[in-house]
Amino acid sequence: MPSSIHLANAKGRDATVGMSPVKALPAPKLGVPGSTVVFRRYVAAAESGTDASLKSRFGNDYTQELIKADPEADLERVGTLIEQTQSVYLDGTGQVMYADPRFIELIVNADGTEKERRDPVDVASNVNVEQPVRWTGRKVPIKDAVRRFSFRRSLQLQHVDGLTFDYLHQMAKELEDSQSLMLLGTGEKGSGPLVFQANGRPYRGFLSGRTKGKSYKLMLHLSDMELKKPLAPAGRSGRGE
Amino acid sequence: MAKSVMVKCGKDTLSFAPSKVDRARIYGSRKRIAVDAKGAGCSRASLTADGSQLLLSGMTSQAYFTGDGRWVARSEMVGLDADGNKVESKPSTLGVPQDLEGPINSSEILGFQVESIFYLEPEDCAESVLNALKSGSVYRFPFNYSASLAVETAYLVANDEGVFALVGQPTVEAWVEEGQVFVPPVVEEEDADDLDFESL
Repeated sequence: MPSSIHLANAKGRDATVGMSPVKALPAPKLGVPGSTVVFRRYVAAAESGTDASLKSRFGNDYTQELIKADPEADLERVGTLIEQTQSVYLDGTGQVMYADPRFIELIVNADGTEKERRDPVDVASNVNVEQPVRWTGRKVPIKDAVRRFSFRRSLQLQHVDGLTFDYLHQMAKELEDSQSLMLLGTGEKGSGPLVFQANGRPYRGFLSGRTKGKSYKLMLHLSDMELKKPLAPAGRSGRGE
Repeated sequence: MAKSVMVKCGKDTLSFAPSKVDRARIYGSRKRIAVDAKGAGCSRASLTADGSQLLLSGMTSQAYFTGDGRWVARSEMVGLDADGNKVESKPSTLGVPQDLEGPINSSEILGFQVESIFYLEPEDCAESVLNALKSGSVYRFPFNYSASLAVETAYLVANDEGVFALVGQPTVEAWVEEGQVFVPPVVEEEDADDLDFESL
C-alpha cells in the first residue's frame, strides 16, 4: 500500500499528498492475564506421518497401525517451532519444482461454475503515478451511497506541506457543504478503478470531507461491491450460532 | 442453519433470515492458479530456512506459546482488553431481539469498518419499519453472529435489492491540523528471504 496519492482537484490541479489506512478500534484478544503469549506455527506431523504417506505404507485403513506402533509420531520433528520459511511449488505429482510454474487466471461465475481460463494480465498500481487520480465531478449523496455501496476500507488523506493543507482543506469543505461523496477515477477520462498495488484488487474510490475550523478530515472510502441480493444464495449462512 | 436476526422497534419485533453476502456471489470471481509443464495444477509448500524440511499441507498447526516456549492450552486463556483487563465472552445475538436505534445519520456508516454483510430476507416485519428503511432511514443494533469477545455493531439499510445488515467496528479517525507533519504508516520489513535479486 503506497503512503502517497497523486490527486487532482475539481480544477484539474494536482498534488501528491499523504495517505494512511484507517483502522478499527482494537478488539479484545485471547491471552493469559499478566503474561505475554504469542501465536506460533509449529510442525504437527513429519512427511512420514501425513495421510498420503501412511496410506502408501499401510493401505487406506491404517487405524490399527497407528494404535499398534505410532508410525505417525516423529519425536525429532513434531513440535518444532517454525521460523522463517520459503514458499515452493509442487508439481502435479507432488515433486518440488525447480523452475517457476506457469500461471493462468480462472474466471468463475457467481453461481460457482467456471467461465473461462486465460493468461493473466498484470495490472500496475495507479494511485501514485504520473497521471493523477481524477476528481470526476460525479457526486453521490451520502444517504444514497451508504445504501448502494459496500465500503470495505477507508484511507485518510493528509497534507505534506502548507500548500497541500489549503488544497485538501478546500476539498473537505466542498464535500462537507454538499453532504456528498465525490467519485474518484483513474486513467485519461477518470473512469478507471483505483489499484493500490501491482495486481491488487481494483476499487471504486469515494472521497468524503469534514472540517472543524482549521482542521479537516478527508477520507477516501473504497468499495468493490454494490449492495445487491446475491445471485445464488446458498440458503442461510452455514457458520454456527 | 442459523437462527433469525431479530430486532425490536417500539412495540414491533422484526425477524429476518440472514444470508452472508460476498463479492464472488454477486459478480463471480477470478483467481490465479499455478500449473506445471504438463498443465496439471501445482500446490504450495513451505521449505524451512535451513532447507531441511519440506512442510506440506496438513503438516503444520498453530498454537499459543509463552515467551519461554511453553504451549498454552486454550482453557488457560481468557479475553483481555487493550488494558489487560479480563473480558467475558459475549453470546450470539441471533434469535434474541435486539433494540433498534435510529433513524441515525447516514454518514455514521462512513466512520465504520465493515467486516461482513448479510442479506436479510424479511420473515416477520412491520410494514412501517420496512417502508422507513426503503425510504432511506438507517438504523443501528448490536450484532454477534457467533459468541465472541466483543459485540459488533450492525447498520440496517435497505435499497431496491432488499434489506442488508452491515456488520463491523467503528474506526479511529483523527482531525488533521495545519501544522501537523505527515508520518507515513510503518510498513513491516519483509523477510530477508524475500529479497529480490533478479531485478538488480
